[in-house]
Amino acid sequence: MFARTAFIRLLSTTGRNLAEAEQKVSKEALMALRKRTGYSYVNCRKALVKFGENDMDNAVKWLKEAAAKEGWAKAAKLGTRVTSNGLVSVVTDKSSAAVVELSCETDFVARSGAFKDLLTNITNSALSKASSQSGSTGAKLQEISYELGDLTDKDGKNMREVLSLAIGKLGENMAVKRVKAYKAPEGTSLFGASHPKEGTEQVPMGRFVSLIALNQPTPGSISSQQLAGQICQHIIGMSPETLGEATESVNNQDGLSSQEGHDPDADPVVVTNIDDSETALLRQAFMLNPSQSVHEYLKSHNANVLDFVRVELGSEQ
Amino acid sequence: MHIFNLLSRNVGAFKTVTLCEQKMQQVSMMQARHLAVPGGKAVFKRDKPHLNVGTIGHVDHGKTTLTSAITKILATSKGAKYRKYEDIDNAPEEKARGITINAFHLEYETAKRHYAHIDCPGHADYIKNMITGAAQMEGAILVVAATDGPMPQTKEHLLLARQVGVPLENIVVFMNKVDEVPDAETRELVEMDIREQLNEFGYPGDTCPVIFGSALCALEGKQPEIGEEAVKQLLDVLDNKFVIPERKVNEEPMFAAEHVYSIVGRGTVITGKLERGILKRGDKIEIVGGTKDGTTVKSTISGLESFRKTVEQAEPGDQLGVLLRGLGPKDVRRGCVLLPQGHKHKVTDKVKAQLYVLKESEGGAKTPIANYFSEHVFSLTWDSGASVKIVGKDFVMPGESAEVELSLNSQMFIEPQQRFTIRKGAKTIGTGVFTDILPPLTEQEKDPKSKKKLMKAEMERLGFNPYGEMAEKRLKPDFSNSPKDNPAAKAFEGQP
Repeated sequence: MFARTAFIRLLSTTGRNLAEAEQKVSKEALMALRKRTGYSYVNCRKALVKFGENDMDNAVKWLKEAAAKEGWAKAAKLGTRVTSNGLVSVVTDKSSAAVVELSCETDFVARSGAFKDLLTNITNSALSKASSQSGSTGAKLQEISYELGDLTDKDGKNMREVLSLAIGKLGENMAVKRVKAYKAPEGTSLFGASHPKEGTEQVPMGRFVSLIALNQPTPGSISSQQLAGQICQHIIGMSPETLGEATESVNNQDGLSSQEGHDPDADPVVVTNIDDSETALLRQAFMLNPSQSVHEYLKSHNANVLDFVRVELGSEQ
Repeated sequence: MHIFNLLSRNVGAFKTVTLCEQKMQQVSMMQARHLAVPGGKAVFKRDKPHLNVGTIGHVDHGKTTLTSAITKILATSKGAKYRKYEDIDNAPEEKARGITINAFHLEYETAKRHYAHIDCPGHADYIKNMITGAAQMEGAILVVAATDGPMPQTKEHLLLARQVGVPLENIVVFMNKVDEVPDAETRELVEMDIREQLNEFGYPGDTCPVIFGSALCALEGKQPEIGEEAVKQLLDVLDNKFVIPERKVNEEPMFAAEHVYSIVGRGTVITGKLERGILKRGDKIEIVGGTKDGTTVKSTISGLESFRKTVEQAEPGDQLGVLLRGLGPKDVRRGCVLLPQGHKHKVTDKVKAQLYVLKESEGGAKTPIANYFSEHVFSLTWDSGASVKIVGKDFVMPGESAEVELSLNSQMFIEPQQRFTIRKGAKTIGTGVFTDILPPLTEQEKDPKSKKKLMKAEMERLGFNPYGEMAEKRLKPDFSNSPKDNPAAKAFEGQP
């Protein structure tokens, strides 16, 4: 490992160069360049040595080119490292949605603004591509898979390049594990939610996301947005596998009394209990109020869920 | 930002850190009672003050190399066992699964202090280990490569240190890889940059020690001025600048009742283990906890027995039977706690805590814990039903941790840093530590009328009833006035 580290250091672009070290660069210029670009000090210094302090524009240009090259090199170098952390995002407009999973090595990076910005960028570009495609004709969500290379950002830059730049900047391996778009069945609106709530109002992201196609002909007592949010939470929490047939009664022992380890002379302790063996969404006990089934709850708000998607970070390798 | 000073008041004894997985197993195997801080057990005798330190920083900035260099340099004075980079970094599969931060755990000592050293590979991992009691960090070594300077995620590293309550004095920056940055200007700028960020997070950035060095040089025995000397300088900061958090050891006797027997003609005997302090015959005591309204009873110890022998003076860790004068069988219950009269403890039924919900693979449940769930909480020898309110999240998935507010059915003996478990049937589904003792529910809060009003408002806000069917029948919530049809919205209709 030492040998490897040393070897990599020899190869790296930041290798020691005596001639360069002797050349003086003013602190102000170096600080200004670092603040402006955010690139590593060593590279900022190199740029200043190369172009002089009065040619900032060229220095910045050179740095950007160097960063692109280094980003690719870094991406290749770090490419084998395991990325088990990260975030999944979901974004919806009425009839289209996009779900993107971006992974990295540590959750420190996953929590950082730069990482979330990158994920937002990819997610929005996937949504705008999906929005231009024609809608679903069936009663189910229509799923479309994209390659990262199919997507471009607002300025027309390929997403692969955007990703490798970010790898260069954050210094961790990152991988896009999935880019999916969904088209809503007719008459439904799409809603998405994440858990925990790491993203923004517009682009929710977290370790889990869910997406539902909701149809609500007449408004219930709470807004569709709030209702959809609750159902999305339920889907994340209870991980249903299928939609299932509607059921009125729910198979659960709400108010199970817990006696193990409890003083038999004292009052029994009643705990919330959810039947976790049911895997069909509509038949499951509603997580937030386990005495009702999801179907019953939806019915009380005049709503229908036609289809759903649940994604957990790291579930697709 | 929630600053939870978890474990900061832990007992002075150095606790050997077990692998987290083992810990979880231990937790799930533990029977109904869950004893608190390991105060009663045999104490590790150490002649030097102990401090728990941790390295944080970007993955490629040389944390492991630095850790290895520290052990190498201290090994020459027999203060550590030299660990090679490979030895510290030897659990790649475990790392990949994100299970453990304890594989990186090691200890060393200088002439002045004894240290336990951990590495923090992730935010969530660290928090989990802190809650389960497997790791703690009272001082932080922030490793930054001078070549790169602070990374965008350096903010997150500092945030973790701040969040887990690392004291302001206990942070040091090790500026690594300076052998690759020969010019003074760059070094100065990187230093300015990191000082600025420290200030941003409330650490004394202007006075915080920043040490320039190269862990690699220290390991390879090259350029001693940035190698060995820098590491020695770092250890000097740990020894002399870092403060040892005050570890208050409460010496007041505390005895939690496990079983209660009444002996005709003699009084009531409670059995259990003396957690701390000294008890003698004739001591005036008070029995607290286990009642709805916080009432207590007073008595005198008329006899102490241990394994059928009379004991004159009981010491921490003793298994005891305590005979109490003049008490009936209804006055004491399992879970009550015996304290000396004149104690300052206030029992409560409302408490803040940090909770970790066990994954299914750790013996926990498949389903999450959501707001308003009723759970069965065990701590010391008591157990109680508790309603859960989650702070900052909608629900807690297995494998996640969260800050929660628990409202218990009865007022109980709770101290900050006391540990608890949540069990369902034969399973332990959560484990946690109490952090802030909140005042007991007020009479008004308990008043059925105002409680009903609050519950009704909550049901209308949510659009469903989180309190069970009985409540709905009693309260008859009117969902038609819920947010969607807010009359205030009408006022805005038709306006341009």
